[in-house]
Amino acid sequence: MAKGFSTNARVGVFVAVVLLILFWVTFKISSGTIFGRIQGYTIIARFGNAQGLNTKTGVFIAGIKVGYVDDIKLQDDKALVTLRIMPGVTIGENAKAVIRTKGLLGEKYIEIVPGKETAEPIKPGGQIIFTESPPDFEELMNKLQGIATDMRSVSQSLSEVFGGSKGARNIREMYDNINRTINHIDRLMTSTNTNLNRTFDSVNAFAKVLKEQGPDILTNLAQVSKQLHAIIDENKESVNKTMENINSASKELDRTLANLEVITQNLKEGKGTIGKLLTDKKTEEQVTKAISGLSTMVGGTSRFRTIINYRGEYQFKYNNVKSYLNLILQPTMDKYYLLGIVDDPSGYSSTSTTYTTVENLNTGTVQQTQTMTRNITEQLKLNAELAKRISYFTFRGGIIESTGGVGVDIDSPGNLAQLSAEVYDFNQKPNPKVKAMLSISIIRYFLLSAGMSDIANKDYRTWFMGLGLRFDDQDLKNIFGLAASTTYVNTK
Amino acid sequence: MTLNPFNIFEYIGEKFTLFLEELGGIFSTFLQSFGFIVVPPFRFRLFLKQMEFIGVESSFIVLLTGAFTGMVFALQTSYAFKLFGAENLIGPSVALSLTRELGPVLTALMVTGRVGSAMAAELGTMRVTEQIDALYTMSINPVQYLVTPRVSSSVVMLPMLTVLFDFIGIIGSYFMAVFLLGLNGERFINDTIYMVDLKDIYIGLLKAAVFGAIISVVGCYKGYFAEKGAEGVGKAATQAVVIASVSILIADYFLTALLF
Amino acid sequence: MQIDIKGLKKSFGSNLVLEGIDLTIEDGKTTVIIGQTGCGKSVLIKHIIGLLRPDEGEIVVNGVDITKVTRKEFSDILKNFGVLFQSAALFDSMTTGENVAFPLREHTNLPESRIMEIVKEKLAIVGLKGVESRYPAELSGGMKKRVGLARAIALDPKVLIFDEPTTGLDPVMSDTIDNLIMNTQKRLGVTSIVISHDIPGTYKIAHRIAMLYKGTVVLYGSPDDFKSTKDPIVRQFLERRAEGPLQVEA
Repeated sequence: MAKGFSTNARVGVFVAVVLLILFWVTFKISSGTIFGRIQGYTIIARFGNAQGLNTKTGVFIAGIKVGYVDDIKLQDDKALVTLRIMPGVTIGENAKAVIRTKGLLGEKYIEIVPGKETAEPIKPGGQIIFTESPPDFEELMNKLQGIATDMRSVSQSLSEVFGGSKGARNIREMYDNINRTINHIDRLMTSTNTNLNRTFDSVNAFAKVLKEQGPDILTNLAQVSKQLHAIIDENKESVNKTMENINSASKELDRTLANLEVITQNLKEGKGTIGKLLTDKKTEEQVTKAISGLSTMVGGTSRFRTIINYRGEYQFKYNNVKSYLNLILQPTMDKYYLLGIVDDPSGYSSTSTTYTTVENLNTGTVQQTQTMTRNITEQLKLNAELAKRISYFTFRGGIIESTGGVGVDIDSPGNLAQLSAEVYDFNQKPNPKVKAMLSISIIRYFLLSAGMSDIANKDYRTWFMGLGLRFDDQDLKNIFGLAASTTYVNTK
Repeated sequence: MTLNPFNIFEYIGEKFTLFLEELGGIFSTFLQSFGFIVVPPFRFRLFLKQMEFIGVESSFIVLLTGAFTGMVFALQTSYAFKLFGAENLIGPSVALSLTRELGPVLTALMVTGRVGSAMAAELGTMRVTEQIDALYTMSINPVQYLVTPRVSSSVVMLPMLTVLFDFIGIIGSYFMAVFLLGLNGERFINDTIYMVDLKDIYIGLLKAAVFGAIISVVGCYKGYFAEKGAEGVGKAATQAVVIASVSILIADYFLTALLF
Repeated sequence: MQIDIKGLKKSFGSNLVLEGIDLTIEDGKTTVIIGQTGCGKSVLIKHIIGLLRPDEGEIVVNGVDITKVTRKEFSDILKNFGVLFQSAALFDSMTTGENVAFPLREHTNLPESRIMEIVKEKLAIVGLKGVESRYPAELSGGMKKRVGLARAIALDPKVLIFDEPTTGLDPVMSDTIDNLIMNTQKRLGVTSIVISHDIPGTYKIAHRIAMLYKGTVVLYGSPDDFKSTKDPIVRQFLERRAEGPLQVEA
């Protein structure tokens, strides 16, 4: 041992260092209290369920610790919780005390949610009137079960609406009507184009004349009226026709609208589960709660993301727009489930073979020719895919456009661009459908895409260009203002 | 000895009597040594000397084991907590385990190895070479002269060493968590301070004081009543370490059950 | 200071060690106690210095039965005793000087300078000079004994007890120690009790000799009494023979 210091000095230094550490730690831990003397004031809150709360459980406002639970007592079947709040922190009388959880298995804490308006602060010893206890696990499970039952009936009625013969007919009719309307308008526009142009020219000229020759207006009036007459005379037939067209178009529109109206009316009145689901406020709350609860449960600290995207692809060959509406549920970063509807104007293709028999009178032989045609009609299709992401590659498979299929997506670093390829409809003749696409995220919410579909079939392949919209649950919440009503959101 | 069934009972009875004798001896040593704290003459120099030996000179080994215990503990708990995504609990769990349990117990075990055996050997040698008898014939109470300073400074120094152990252990776990596992340092400290109660620390220190008494009383008792010869001294040192270590672990259980 | 031992009995368990010792240690004389190993010499000494308490009998020192007094009173009586242990029993954590000064520091209020003077003086009596700052581990066996003696006489005791003072020393050193015991006794006029196996040394230093055998005193008298005795036990012991009534315990 070094003999620089005496025994006294060495022991003295040792004891001093230890006591210094002990005092420092004591002071650190009892911050807010000075050596056991508690500072701050107390307020009380009554909770229906104080499970998981302990003395020293933290009290937070906007994520900042402002106090802790001082005491928990049972009073008239309620938990009477005394909160000790740091001096200088005021809590308005309209504030709400909410028991929240850090993560699914995490500890409980109390969040004070201030009221919207400024209010008188609660005095020391006062009570915070508005409280909210967490739903306990069993309750949550029951709720989820109820919602699952609801969901099933929703999907049932959806399948009735879309899948049943009546439903199919309804939708077909609706689309027919819309199509026809559009056709009518189209025809109207072309046929009246020249006449209308001329009309507008004349009107323009007339206006000019009026402006320029205001003083001579009276003298010219006769001539003008003559001219006008002539115009009308000349166009009499087309105007009539126009009126007729407009008439029938509006009739079609009318019918379409009526159809739509019936549907929306039903929905509005809460007929059918989907209607109920949309109109019932309680359901909305339940769904919201359940979804955020589910997110918390499934995701742990990471979130269960929900993404909705819509994409329209203009197909050059068919001169029409194919639409996609997809719901993506992403429990973890490396996998997702996709559910979607595809409206394909050239969707249903059947191959029919026509046999033509020609009797050759000269030779007396019978010649038969065979023609194969692919008939294309519009169709609604379903997507249901599972996807797994490995580094920049996402492999997915399942039901693509109501047929079995697989696909692969390659993301660029930063997810700005995506190259994807998919193969589906293996029954298609002569080859399965193959589609390749490049998507670029131009700005938030918007995706620009281009590619070629049905590559393997020479006669049907087409280039396409598309524009997409993409929202995740956070965006949706912002859009629909759901965030305000959530009570059990993950607070990470 | 032959394993005659009757002899077995005799053997067990004999051993049990020995055990009771030992227990009584240790306890009486404890009472005597404490009693002499308040009886003059006060041997402050001897007390200081023992404080240096038990406290100051043990600080290096305590700091070393403390730092590594904290680091290893942080590393081990991180494996489990990562599964739950609860890495923020590494700090509190290390701090709580150290202050409540590992700090006092490991410090006591380290000091037992270093100091308990040394006490037994030193007093044993003094017994064998008649130095204790010499003290007695010089009208100096050997218990007061030899045992009391050792026991009292142990009781004072063990909690102090535990403070060092806890502190350096938490620093060790901090370094592990922040620099190796990439946790947020400020959060680590805040969570730790939030979860650790003063009670946890002070009860840990109270335990340490009890362990200090155990180490020194057992060490002194074993040395004081060492049998003749070098072998007797060696046996005393070994037994002191074994008995003190086992007693510390047993006492820890009861103290934990009683105090927390 | 005369010590009267009357009917002293002591047993350890079933082993009866002292079977009734009657012995008077005369004031200002050197009494040597001889006897076989295990005959109870050391046990007798331990009774005199109070390390052991007898089962029966009394030890009267200066008219006080020391077997009946309290620890505190005994502690005061002990201050009149100086003991030189077989192994010298020097405190190895202290230097030679500190060892000799130890009883002075513990029991007197003398100033440090005076203590140092006394230490030098006592060491000079035992024939040592300039060894104050050396530790016991650095001393030879004979030197240790002499330092032990210096410490024993530090407080000028009235009774000196020597436990086998020459055991383990060469004959020259043994004689030196014997001379030292004689000189000290003469110089300080103390009552000395010596336990010894060394027959020539015993004849040289003793005024009185007591021989213990099987827990009793078989012969007590002057060295001349011992030289002329016909007792076969004493003769065998003094003539250093294996054959005879004394048997080595198996």
